[in-house]
Amino acid sequence: MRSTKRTPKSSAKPTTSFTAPTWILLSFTILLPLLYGVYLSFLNVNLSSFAPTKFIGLDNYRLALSAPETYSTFITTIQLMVIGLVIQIPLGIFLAVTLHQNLKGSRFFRSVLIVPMLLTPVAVGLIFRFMFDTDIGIINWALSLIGSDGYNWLGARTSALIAIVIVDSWQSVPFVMLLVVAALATIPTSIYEAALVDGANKFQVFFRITLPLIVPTLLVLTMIKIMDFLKLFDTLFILTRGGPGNDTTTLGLWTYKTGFVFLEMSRAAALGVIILFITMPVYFLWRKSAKSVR
Amino acid sequence: MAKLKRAQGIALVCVLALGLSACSSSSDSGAELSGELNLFLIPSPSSTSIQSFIPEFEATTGVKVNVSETPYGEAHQKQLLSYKQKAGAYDIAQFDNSFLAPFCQAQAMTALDEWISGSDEYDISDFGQGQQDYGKCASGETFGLTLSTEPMIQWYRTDLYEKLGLKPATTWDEWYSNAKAVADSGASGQLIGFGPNVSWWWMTMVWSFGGKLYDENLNPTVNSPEAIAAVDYMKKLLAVSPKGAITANGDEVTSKFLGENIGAMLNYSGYYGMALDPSINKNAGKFATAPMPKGASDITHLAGWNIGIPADAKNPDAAWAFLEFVLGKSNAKAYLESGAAAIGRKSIISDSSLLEKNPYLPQLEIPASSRIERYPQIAVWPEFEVAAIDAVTKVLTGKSATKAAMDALNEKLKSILANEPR
Amino acid sequence: MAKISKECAMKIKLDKVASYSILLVAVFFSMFPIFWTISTSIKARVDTFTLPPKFFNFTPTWKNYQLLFELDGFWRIYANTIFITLATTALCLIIGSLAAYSLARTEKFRGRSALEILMIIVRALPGIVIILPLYNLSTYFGLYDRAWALILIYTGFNIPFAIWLMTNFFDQVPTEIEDAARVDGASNMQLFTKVLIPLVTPGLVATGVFVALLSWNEFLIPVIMAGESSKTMPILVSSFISNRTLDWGPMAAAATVALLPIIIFTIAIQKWLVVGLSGGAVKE
Repeated sequence: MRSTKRTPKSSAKPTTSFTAPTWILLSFTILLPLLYGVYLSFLNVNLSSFAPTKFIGLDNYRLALSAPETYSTFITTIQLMVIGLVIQIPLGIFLAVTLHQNLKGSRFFRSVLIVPMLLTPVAVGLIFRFMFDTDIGIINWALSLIGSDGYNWLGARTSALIAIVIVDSWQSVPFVMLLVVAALATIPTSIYEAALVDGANKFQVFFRITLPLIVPTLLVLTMIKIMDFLKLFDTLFILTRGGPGNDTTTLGLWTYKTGFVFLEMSRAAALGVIILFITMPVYFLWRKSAKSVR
Repeated sequence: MAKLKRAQGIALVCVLALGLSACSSSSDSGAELSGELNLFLIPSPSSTSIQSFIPEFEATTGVKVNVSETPYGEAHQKQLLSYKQKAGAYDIAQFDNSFLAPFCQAQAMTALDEWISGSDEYDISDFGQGQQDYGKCASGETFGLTLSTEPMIQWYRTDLYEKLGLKPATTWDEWYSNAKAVADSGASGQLIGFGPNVSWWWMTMVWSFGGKLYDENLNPTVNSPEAIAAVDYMKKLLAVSPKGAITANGDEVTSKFLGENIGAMLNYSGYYGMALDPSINKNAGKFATAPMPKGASDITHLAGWNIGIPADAKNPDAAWAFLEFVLGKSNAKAYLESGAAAIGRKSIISDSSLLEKNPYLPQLEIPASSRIERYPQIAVWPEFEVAAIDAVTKVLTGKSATKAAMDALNEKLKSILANEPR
Repeated sequence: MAKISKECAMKIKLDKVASYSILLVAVFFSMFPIFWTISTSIKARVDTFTLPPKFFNFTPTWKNYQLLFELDGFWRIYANTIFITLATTALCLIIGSLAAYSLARTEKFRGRSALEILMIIVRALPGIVIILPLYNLSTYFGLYDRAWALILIYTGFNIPFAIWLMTNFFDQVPTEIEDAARVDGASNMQLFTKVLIPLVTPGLVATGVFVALLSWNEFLIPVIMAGESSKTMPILVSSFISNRTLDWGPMAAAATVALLPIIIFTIAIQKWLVVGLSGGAVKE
């Protein structure tokens, strides 16, 4: 195994100097703004006001926590997340299982199916905005073929949320599929053979054997998707800009509006810190649970 | 014709340049025009027209003109950031009137009054009183020249009205009955923007119905009986509007009116530029313009661009010379003909030769009796507007009853307006 | 195996038919929006705004692309995006692989957990939390609308992901070769450049591909930090949606121009994507 020879001094493992560049970079591009954001949140900076900035303590937080928008946008975020997860994960697993059967041409299918995943979300949003158009959109036209009246997709909250999930799913399901395919590939075929010998049918094999074995991957996936939904911006921005009104505005988009449209930089910074407090525990909770699964 | 006018304009600039150099102006050492000008423009027909005048200006004055265009959504943020830096990045800046208040707040622009009063070429008296005040701050200083005069007016289908024996509405009741008649005949009755720009129509209606958005002490009054009546009226109109109306923004209102069969629309006169595009305008020759119906109050909702000289401009004298050149009286006709949204000079409005291509010009003559309302001149307008759009949309989509939604909006506006620097 | 009964064979065949159908339906849904975009981009305005939609029966026109290419600054924006993407990728790979090497090889070192926590924060945190303060700072540091500032921010945002991927790849390289080289007196840097890098090249390529993709598609950072001169493709694409006229033809052309390179690129380096995702991502 490891060599028992005495290792010369130059064998000190790589650490400080190798990680230094990363530290420097992250300090300037991440840490500094984060700390500055926290600092900002205690002031009253508004871009359109040239009045001298004042320290106002926790006022911005009080404002944020008492504003109904903070909560309504948070709920919108959660709703998008839940609907999205419920659609994307099963669909991704379903496609992965189908693909995994190693039919002829599965390579071709895989290459084609993952294309949506890599496309620029903004451009994708544009495409779907056109397709969802009430009057000339192809989706409403397709619906009219089966007798439906067509919806004003982006004009009402529920349909807009569904539209957003559809667009996100178009890009996310391939990702889920790919990861599950990779996970499925690690399952030794001997297990399947043994099950078949025992007379199990396809569904039993899937639910009793396959699924439990890919649970770690699913946990990773769920976590990644949760974080993705918390970060969702591009698609939202293009499809609805958070509209109608604030109906499809997530907490992140609301932070953007507060800072960039209302020019209330300090209030936006406070919202950012609140997001930080929401996101971090979720991530750490997951890490804990993932470790315990092993 | 235009060339002659332009030549006159150029001659004027030369005289000006000589004049400025001969008598040293207020601050500088009497230098003649030189150096560079940096223009901050926002993509629009006005911007295109301004740029078309640059070659001549450069040729005659030797001042190099650089242009940078920023889309509307980021333009004002970028300007505010720039003015905060006080680095003199821009000498001339185009901005929407809705941002006049923050600019006034921030003292971001140079007051133009001294130049204006001394300029025969610009001739401020060629503007109606209300329009003279269009770019003025509460302090009375003029921070922006009028770059376009765009009142909200009535556009109606002459063929549909003729067939049904209708006349352009002069009251809101007539507007509704006209729309109902057209709707009953099979077309769509009327169209206003119920979508992401609904605030534009909402404030117009509130004012017209005799209400106000807030009083002199910045207390919100959006749940007054008049304001609520206005919102109820908008809801009534939705029923005689085409299907996509609930999400229509400003542009879509125009393109739908021009491309489909809708009896009438309320929209800014500046949208007339879209009527010149045959791929959009399928109803050419079949519509006309008229003043907006009058409600309890006689108001004109006036929108449009402003253009000014930032306080930190490096070359303010050349900047004024450029503004005078492009927007002065001599070049006014050429400016309009180059495709810009019209500026409501009396000399332009009354110019019959322009009437054929710009039939809406008479609507730009705002009667003295009409109270001109601009975008609310408050720095917190962006946030105010978003809250209002949110609330009105809830009423229009049936999620909330009018009174409940407006009461809630009023409450919310209290805290928003409380942030307004006084 | 025993001879398969007729029913069994039928069942297998049905399964196959079902599977292929499912996959074909999936392919249809995946590809249709792309097809529809490309077709809209070569349609004249009048063909775009008709119902029923015209799938094939129209005369194609290049006018939308013409409009797009003649747009002020289009080529500059395109070149800008390529430049920023390449620079970010290079920076991420260089800085990231160094850090990944440390993380893979050295179990404990001072600041390790701090670094890991920082990386987690970056990956989990919505960008808006970081980018708005950056925007505010931009006036002090001259960051606004500068390509190099964007590159640095892009790199910062993407480096945790790059490090994460590459650490997994480094993990897969056995230590024996290094130990041997170390005995011969090689320094860490020499080990890194001469020994490790050649061995993890597939991993580097896979990581580079991902970082390039993420940079090319990045929207939040430039929408806030980029002005006229450092604008990128996604911003250009998004600028078609505004309060002004929605002209679907040029928009479709813009979307196509933004997406076509990715599609071609993807098909070309398909293998690396799978390597990256399965090799790097699944192992957590």
